[in-house]
Amino acid sequence: MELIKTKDLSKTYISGETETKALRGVSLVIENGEFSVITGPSGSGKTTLFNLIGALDSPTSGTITFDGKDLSKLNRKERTLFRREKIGFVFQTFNLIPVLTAFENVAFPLNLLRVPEKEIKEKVYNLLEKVGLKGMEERKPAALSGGQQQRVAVARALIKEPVLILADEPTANLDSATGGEIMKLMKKLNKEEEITFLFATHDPMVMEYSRRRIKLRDGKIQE
Amino acid sequence: MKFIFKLGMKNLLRYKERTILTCLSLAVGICILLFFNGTLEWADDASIRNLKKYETASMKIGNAEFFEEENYIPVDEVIRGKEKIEKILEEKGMEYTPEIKFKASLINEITGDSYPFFGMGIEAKSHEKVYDLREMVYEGNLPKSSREILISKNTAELLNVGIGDYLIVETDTKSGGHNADAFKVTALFETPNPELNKGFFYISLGGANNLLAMGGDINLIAVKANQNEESLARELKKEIDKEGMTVRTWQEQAQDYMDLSQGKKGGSSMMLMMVFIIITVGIVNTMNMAVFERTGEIGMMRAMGMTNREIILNFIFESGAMGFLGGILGLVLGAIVTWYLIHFGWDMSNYVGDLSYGYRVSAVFHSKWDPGMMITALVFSTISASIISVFPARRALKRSISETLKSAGKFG
Repeated sequence: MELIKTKDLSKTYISGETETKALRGVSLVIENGEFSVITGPSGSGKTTLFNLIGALDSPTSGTITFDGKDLSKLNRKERTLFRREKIGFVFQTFNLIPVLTAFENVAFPLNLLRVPEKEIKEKVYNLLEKVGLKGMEERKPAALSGGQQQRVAVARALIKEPVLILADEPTANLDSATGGEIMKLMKKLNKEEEITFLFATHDPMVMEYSRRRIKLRDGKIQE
Repeated sequence: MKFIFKLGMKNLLRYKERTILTCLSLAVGICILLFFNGTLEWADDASIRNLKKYETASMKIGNAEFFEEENYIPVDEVIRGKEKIEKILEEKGMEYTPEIKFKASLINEITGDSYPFFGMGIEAKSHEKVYDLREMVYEGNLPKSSREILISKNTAELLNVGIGDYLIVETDTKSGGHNADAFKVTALFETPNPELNKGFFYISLGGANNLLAMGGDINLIAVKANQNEESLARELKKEIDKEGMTVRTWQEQAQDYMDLSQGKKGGSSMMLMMVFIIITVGIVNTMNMAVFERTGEIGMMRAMGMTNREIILNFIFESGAMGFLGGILGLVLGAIVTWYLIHFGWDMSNYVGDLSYGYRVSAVFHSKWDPGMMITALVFSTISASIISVFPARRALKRSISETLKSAGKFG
């Protein structure tokens, strides 16, 4: 079943008198439950495409639908609430909130969704156990290794049971063994929870795990 | 809301040194505000007390012409219908005392040193019922015989005289002539009212009557009202108006002080403005740093679906808590300073001497508890700090999410 559909998606950034065409008419479809990767050299438009799919930005032209809903027609507040409910993000450098514990970081999206305290506790403890962080709930990011921090980040992306997880270079700051563990974990969750995963990466290991590769070059798909 | 508040509090402890320094700067500002406000409040209270107890009484009755030219002390403008006025005052059960106020020079007959003063001819017995000067006479008594003079300790030092010495009092008489006579210093006084200490001397009513050739006339009646001063003054004014006499309340007599007191209100607003500037500079700087350092984090929170309102609220809580903590610390510091000043005072005599600047207070500065100002300062500090934080937060939110994430090198 079709989850994301882009049609002639273009994005142009204007800085002073300079125009940069980051995306030039990208059309693609991402099915529900996919575990796909977008690859391409730096400046190919991966991040821009991610930003548009994740409703972080709006296109200059073209359309992008998510579950049949046209994202380009959403206003800022609607895009925020869309991200809050539907999208999970995993960042390259984890982006955990340093003053919060692992538990609190994972609970963050549920707090935004106003989930009752009791339910949050139950869900967060379960998920942290699932990602192999049992007993580390009260540790702050600084007291966790890179791999553990990325596990917290993955748990944070998953906790609200999003429709789509966008992971940008999730293994870039991890050694290959830890990176492999994180990928296995995400693959497992993709199978078990049927969550769609979309990666942006240069890492061959991530590509190995994915079922589909979408190559971008100069803002166009090269599939 | 609860978790946003919790996050704000946790962020507050993120950069402890910076938070402490900001709180300290707010605390110092509030402490200074409380110090000035408490001291001015005390100066207000003490001035009113010292004016009434030693200088103006509750009100004075005199010839309207006398008051109009009070700066020149026209001694020929005397009270008419004195007996009738005294009868009215007695009927109302008010304490009063007759006075002859005049300008004179005090001359040390040995050194020839001469200084201008205000002379007061007083009737010791009734004077004590209206004023508290008697309590401030630390050697001797109020002048009773016509050749005794009571001067302040300051005046004694200025003219280099002591008890038992003689001073020449030279003045204009009621009819415009000159007269001078020798008076024996029989007592010294020192009041908390510097105007009296530096500018007044006292002789008996009889002595003044002879010296100024008043022919039994007086130019003032000082009245003490224990309550309802203003309504009593209005009533009296009506009753004695027909005689061409009038009533001057203590406020009307001490116009210099009243002007200063009114100005003080503007001064308090200025000080609040000063504290606001301290808060603005401190908080804006701290919050700018916080927003700058957390650019990527703000981007991440927005990406995860935190609304602009929630992010601003997070900064408001953080900054407001800083303002509150700084305010509390300022109250503690201010309370310590106020307590010390109330109990021990701050002797400024080396700097201000007996200058009153319009306030009738001694050079030992005290303070006064002002719970209203303390609450205002705390609320003001908290609210200002909260409001100010909105600006750097809003500025950060103007940037696109992808840009803020990129600046932190995280997403893309």
